[in-house]
Amino acid sequence: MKVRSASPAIGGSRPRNLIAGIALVAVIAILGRPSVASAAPQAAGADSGNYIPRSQYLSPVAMTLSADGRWLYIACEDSDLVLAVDTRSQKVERRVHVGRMPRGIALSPGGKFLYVSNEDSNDVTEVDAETFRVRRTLAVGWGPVGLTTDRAGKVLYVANTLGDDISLVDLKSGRELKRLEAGHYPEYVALSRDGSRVYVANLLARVAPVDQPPVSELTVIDTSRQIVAARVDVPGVIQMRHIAELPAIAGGYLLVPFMRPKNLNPLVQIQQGWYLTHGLAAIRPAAVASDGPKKYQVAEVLLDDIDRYYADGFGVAATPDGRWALVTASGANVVSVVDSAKLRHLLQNTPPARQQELANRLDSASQFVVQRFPVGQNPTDVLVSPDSRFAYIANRMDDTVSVVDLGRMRIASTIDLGGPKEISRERRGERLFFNASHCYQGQMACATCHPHEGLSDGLAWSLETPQLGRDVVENRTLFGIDGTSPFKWNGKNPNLETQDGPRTAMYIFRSQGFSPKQVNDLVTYIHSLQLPRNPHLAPNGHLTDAQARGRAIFFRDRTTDGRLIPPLDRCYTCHSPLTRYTSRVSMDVGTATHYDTIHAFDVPQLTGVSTRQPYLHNGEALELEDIWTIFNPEDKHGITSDLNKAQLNDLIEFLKTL
Amino acid sequence: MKRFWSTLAASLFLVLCAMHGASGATEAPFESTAPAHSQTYPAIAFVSAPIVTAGDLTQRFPQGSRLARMTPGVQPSPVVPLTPEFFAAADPQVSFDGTRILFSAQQRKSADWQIWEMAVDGSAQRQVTHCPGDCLEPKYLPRNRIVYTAIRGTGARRSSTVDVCQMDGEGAHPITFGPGNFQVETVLRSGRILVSAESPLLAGGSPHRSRTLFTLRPDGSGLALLRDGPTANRNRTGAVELADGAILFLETKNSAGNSTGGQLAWIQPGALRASVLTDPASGFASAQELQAATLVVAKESSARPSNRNFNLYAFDLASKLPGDLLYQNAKTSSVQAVPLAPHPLPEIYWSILHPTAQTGRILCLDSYISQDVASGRLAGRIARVRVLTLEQPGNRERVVGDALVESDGSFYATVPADVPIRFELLGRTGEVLHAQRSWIWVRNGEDRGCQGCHDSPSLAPANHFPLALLRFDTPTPLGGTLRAQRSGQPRGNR
Repeated sequence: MKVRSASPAIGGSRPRNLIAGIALVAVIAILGRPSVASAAPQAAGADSGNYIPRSQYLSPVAMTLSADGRWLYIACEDSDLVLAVDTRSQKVERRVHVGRMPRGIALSPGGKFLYVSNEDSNDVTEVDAETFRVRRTLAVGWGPVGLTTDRAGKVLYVANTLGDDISLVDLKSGRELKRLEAGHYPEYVALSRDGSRVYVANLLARVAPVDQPPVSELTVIDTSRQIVAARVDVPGVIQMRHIAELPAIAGGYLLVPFMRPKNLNPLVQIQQGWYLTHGLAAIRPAAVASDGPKKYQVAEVLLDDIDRYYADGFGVAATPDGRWALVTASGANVVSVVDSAKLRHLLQNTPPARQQELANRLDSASQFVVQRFPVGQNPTDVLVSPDSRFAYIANRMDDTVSVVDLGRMRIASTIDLGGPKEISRERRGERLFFNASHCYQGQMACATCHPHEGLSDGLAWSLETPQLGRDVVENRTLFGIDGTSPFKWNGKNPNLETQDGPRTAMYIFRSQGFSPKQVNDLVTYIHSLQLPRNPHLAPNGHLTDAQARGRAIFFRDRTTDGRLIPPLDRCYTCHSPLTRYTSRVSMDVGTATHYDTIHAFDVPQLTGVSTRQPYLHNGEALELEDIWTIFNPEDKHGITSDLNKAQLNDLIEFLKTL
Repeated sequence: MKRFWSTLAASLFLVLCAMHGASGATEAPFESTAPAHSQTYPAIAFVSAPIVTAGDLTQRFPQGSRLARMTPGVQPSPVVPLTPEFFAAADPQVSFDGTRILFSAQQRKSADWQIWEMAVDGSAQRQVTHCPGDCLEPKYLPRNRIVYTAIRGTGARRSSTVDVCQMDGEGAHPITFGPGNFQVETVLRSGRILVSAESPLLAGGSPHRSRTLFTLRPDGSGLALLRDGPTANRNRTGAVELADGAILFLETKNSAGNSTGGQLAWIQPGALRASVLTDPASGFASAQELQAATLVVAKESSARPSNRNFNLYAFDLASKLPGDLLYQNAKTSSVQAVPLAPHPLPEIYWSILHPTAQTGRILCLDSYISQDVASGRLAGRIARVRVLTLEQPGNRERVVGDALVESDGSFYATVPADVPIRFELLGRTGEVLHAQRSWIWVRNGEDRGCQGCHDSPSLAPANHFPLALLRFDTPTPLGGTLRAQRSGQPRGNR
């Protein structure tokens, strides 16, 4: 580890270097003190007079309907509740506590049981739909979100977002049968109309070289054999969320909302979709020989208009006859109604040579979107009643459900689920975080590039333009960043107020941006974002043998052959455990490329590192191991060349516990 | 008591009119000819003039004009003169808080047009600009600034630009830099400015000249055609933004000569192309949103030239038909009506230009993309791009330089700021494969991106790292010494 131009040195042959190193360690130790400044907003939020615990808010995020359409069941992620709303009276009639942060909900085929995924407690709660009591809790993978049963109600399929896999649970025994590998951040699932497939939409693109457009995956599971039948490439998009399948008579398309990032283009302007666009993937099996594997045709259309964007598509639902499909734009507070016949006509009449262009056309939505309904704040899930008369939209940030009369094509009512009427500072900040209206043409919200409530989108962006095409940097997570200032890879932003203030308005949103008060609200919310519970670390904190060996490597002072490692070349010097495993300074670790105009980068905190692929400032390292085996040839990024494969594996095992 | 003050105001106005008669104003006195109707409307300000003509902005009201205010549908409906002391007044624009009116006016018939501001009751009038030529069509901008049309020169050198200054008239400077005679239309709620200009933006004009709509940022960067652009021999002017984001404008034929009447057309949200609301002979002179789904329009009262003047009507956007007659005067035309009501402050646009920079940068992602050919992609192998500018005086074209075009069609160059530029795509032997017709510009420190050579405004770029940015000898510096010919630096106009 060297600061800027220092040359590598091993052992005690250079005492002056050692002294300088010790001095720098002292400086780092001072700089690495817990951040008083960055902690202040949190305290201010608590003292602002309207502190309301987050758990007081409901935050409806997922819904399902009883077969007769009478009962609307709603998973509320902040309150850990599931509500039952009588769709006739439009009143909340029953409620039950489930696990921590319920994010998905599904009904058994007969309607007797509700299955609720609890992302923060890594389990699924089974609820008796009649008594509304918890029957049992089923252990699944890391960060469960979307779930569905098979048609027989024997197997539950659960997308484990943080684990990148899908749990298959035997509902008779309650035991997990197997886990299937998904794409990256699988979130929502859908059972095909014929019951033969479970489709899984992955939020982020596959981890891949940063100079290539992202490719996301729709994972297709064969329910008869319980294996992955296909991994459908959905090129150029990320943030695929809910899935709706149109009936065969309407084309049989799977509709999946997405975002198309333009991260490879320098962001010289925002208009005309230079940053990103929002749309809908239309995927369907291609005609192939019956004995061959199913192939899938993928088409992409935009839901944005030329002058108004519908940011952050989230929920999608189709009427049983497939005539209409409704798509929520969670950043625009709008639901778009798609005429599926018109969409089908567009897809079928676009020449093959123009199909790719179709994915970038901002004038096609006007051909198939017949209505845009303004709804509540941050609409997420949408459902259509079995009789096609009504659609229900869960408005996560104002604890309501919008009811659309599909016959009259108008908002019929809004159901108040009963959350607090007072909006706390943190909640105000959260609303801002998810609202795209602060960006030119409503193109994006903070959440657009930090999906899953603060995650990195896993892409490298060419954000600023002193030199176009230079200084491409990986997006960074917002989880657990309190006390890790400064921010940005160049370390130029001393606090989040600087990061989210005028700079964001000028260079990112290209619009008015946030007022100073709004910035304070937003910063309060961002500081509240905590890392997810880490299943790699035992609840009692006990390390496995491999983790313990890795810890010893992380904190070692000598190489494997006994030479003293200079302080600045030790892992823990720059990744200090005192400050979330960062030293809060910029260091040159030899990772700059010809296309970087700086060589020293802000030392990233290592907490939650296992969920943050890819790595390094420009995202070049796809795996942790690549940091040392590919991008540290001269031991500038700490002394690691003496470590063998097994030792690196141990080091990785330890890092995963952070 | 109210009637007393109305009568007094009208009497005073008559006296002032009589005084101004010596300077050429021959307008008939205001008459309370506004009919009563069941619906109520907000108060309006409008222009009353004996004669309204099209063409030169400074000659629209050859016999003078007055600003007045009234409340349609209210009886009695006094028409209160607001600018009796001017020979001509026009272009009323209400402040965002609804308390003041910005307008252009001539104090005497021979005087230049300047920008003025007053309270909505006509009091507290003050001159904002002291332009060397004519300054008209003012619009409020956020942060105490205004944007307006400035006309300079005479004869063949007469041209107009869009200028910006502070509310006290200081810091006036143009934000348009090419040929095309730019004029202000409106300030969009997004913070951008909608302007009109001749299209294509040619020096010396075109036999099939149209006037169409463009957008740009308040700092003059980001010039872009609004949607699908012009139709030959058609003029799009008088544009306003409706509450739902639709852009409404008047469309007239060039062949209509000096006729002021046009048809109403609009570009609805999300639509690439404009559509018409009324038939071509409908004779509208102005339109403005009065209240939800209702316009206040100035419509010709008769097709007979001898009896032609404009009256104010409500216009129902749902039925696309004129409704209530709001005001008429048999002897004068009434045009340019605007509601005297607060309206939303546009978004503030934060300029990211560099005041000291002498150049801007052009990044083209794929110069093969063009909607000028049916396939959407130009044929042949583009080897270089040539940049040209217009030298003054004389509008002589001069080559600024040329830059390499990569195999993916991308190029990246610095070009002189605030001067007209256009591009020619060259083949391997230097032959011109495709040439841009319109002149555009790049502002100082502006990064201007384009997808291709005349790309569609409805096409978002592909996600592709342009090869031009892999080169370390880019941006290719072109013509950075042309600074001396710039005219775009802020200057006082006093």
